[in-house]
Amino acid sequence: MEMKKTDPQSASRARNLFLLLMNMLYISAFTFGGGFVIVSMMKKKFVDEKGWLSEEEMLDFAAIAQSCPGAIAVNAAILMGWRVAGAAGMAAAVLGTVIPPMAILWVISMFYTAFAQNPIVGTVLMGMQAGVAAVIVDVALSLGSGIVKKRDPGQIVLMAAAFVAAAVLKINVILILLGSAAAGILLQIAKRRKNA
Amino acid sequence: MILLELFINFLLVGLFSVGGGYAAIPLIQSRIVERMGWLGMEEFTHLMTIA
Repeated sequence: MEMKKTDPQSASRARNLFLLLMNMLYISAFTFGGGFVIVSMMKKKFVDEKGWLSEEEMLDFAAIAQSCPGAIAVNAAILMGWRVAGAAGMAAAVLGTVIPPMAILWVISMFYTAFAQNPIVGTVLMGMQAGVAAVIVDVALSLGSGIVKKRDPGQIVLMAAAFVAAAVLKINVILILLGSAAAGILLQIAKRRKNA
Repeated sequence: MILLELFINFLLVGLFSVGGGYAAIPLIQSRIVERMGWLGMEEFTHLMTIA
């Protein structure tokens, strides 16, 4: 792959690690909205500005980060850190991603008990809760409509069954996920057999 | 040992939260609120709102 700007392997390793840490700290501290917002900020910084990796690689990273367990922002940082500076880079990128929210939430939680009892803060939290609930419903609807649009009956039935298991039967979420994963594998095998 | 229990519970949350942050919410609720009883539902919704 041809890169006009600095090649991460040839430039000084310590400098790269430091840059990685500082840039991730900056991105993480000033990004609201989680996962994908951070990924697009990372693209702007590391692909467009620094040229450390290609846009294609970044797209692959976003896809892998989304389909692996864990927070998308942290997963993307792990992949980015590994690509730029190996295992040490991975640690630097993760620290950079995690330290700002940890510091902010640490301070907030020190005041939480006093906060929560304050009637004004209580009202604000109540209002924000409605907003958060709406955001979660929106996420669930867009994920759900993505499944419906694929027009795969197996997946639609699986989604409905998982919903009933969670909301009506109150089955443990982890068991539902394991069951869904197993059902997904079986559905895929059945489809391959039919097409073969 | 509460630290070990915290670690194991969040290890499970992390292991199964496929799809990012929002996918972790029901897992945290099931482990931390319902199973361990470390938080009440109201405090849990406050924490989710702050997060």
